[in-house]
Amino acid sequence: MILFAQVLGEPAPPDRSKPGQPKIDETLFFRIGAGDKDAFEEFYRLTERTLYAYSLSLVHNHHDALDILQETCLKVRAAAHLYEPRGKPLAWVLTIAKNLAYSKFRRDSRMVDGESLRMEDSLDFSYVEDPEDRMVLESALTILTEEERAVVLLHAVAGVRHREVAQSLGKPLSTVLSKYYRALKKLRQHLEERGVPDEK
Amino acid sequence: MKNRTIKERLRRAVQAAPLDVFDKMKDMPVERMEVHDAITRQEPGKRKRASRSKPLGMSVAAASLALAFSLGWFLQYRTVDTLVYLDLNPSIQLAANRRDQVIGLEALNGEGARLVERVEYRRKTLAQVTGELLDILLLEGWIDSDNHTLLLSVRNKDQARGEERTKALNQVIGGVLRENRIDPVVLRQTMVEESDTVREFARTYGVSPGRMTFIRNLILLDPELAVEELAGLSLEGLLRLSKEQGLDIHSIVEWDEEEWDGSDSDRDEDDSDDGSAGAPGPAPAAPQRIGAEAARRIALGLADARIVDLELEEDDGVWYYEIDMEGGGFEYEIEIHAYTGEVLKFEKEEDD
Repeated sequence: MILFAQVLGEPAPPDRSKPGQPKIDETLFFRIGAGDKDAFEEFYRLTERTLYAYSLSLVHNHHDALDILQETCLKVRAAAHLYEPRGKPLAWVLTIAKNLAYSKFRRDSRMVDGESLRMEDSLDFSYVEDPEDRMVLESALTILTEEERAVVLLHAVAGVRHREVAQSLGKPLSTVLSKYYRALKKLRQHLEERGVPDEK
Repeated sequence: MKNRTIKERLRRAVQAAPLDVFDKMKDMPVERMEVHDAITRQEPGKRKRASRSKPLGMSVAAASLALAFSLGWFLQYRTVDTLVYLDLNPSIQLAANRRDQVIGLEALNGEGARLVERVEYRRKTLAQVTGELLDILLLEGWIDSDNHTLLLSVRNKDQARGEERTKALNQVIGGVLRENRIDPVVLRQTMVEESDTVREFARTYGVSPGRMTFIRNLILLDPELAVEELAGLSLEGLLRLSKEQGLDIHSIVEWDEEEWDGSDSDRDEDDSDDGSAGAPGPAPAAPQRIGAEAARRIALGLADARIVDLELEEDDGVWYYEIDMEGGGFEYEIEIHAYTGEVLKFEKEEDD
């Protein structure tokens, strides 16, 4: 509908949900809190890629990222009725994911040396068929810092606007912007050194 | 290798991940939590910092109570909690304590100085003082139906508190101006802090740190821009420039664009952009970028899909907008020449 309006040159209705970005309506949480299953499904469909991408930036590997994704959604179901609307639904969801990831690291580190465990984790992305695509993802997860990973994956992969990324991560916008561009540059150099071709 | 390729590859790799957890999880029983735990807690406001330790004995308690009292008083009333920069062409800074009472009002440039003198701010709230400032700005002709762009920057260490205030003040501004039949364009940014560099540059160029933050973010979006060039521009000028340069300004400030589109005289220019863009004509005398909005419209004309990403990119000296779209089961990758509007690349792929 919006499309037609724009093509025909009529004033388009205000498009609050700017490009790509999953727009969670805060009232979804109230509905989830009241046990509405459709609301939960809607929430899941809206956020799964964003949440997965962010989880991946936290835990580096598919298996754990899936765990975080799932646990986060279950937490949302368990706590949705407690949610206080503050205009930043995505921030809440991402914070849950981050807290879960950190508590997982703490648990893991009690068992084994956490860092070595994480480093040894095979970055198992065998489901990515294209070897170069896989290499780019693996590089991003290895050479970027945690913040850089989060910023790149949220924006480049999940299409979240820089401003929203800043808001959701509680970082100044300028930090997010410069981290984003620095991270892309770093990746670019790294991949060029390894001769990853530009086009498929 | 282009940034775009990196993003595409990353996106494809992440899209390929099988996420089959929904069915497993949708009926999984969960226990409704009574209260938030450490995991689900919403960012704790910094309001409840006051210590709640139990008193050791009566005298200690009394002493610490007195101390806490005076300290509390000091924190509540004397300490700056929120800083507000209001920029039109006059630049004004308001400081408020935790209770939103204004405890300081300063002009950051000569134009602001005369205004500030006329406002008695003591014992008034941020909203009240902002409203009074606007009345004077209207009276003095700084704001009218042609000049209605404002930059509202709110600085608070607690981002949530900052955002609440941004929202509230935006409503105040909108309210006062609409009463006067002016539809304002309020650019809004909430900051947690500003760097020394920003402050220094702001001082050098005689603008508010809020406006300098906006300028710095514009430069981060487009490294071709220079501070000297931007600092001298009015807000309308900055908006027009970023539009011409095709910067996705939404990614750095909040604003309600329909206000600008609906009421601004630039509208006509914009439409001609669109026309020349549809059929790439001769380059204008002074080359100007077609702008993000025009690029957006060209892209929307090419496919029945929604835009998921738009960025200005440069490759071997060629500037272009790369636009990604999704819709009807397809993904599109489009590149539009930033100066001619020519479609450099159009790829359609089945969405998986």
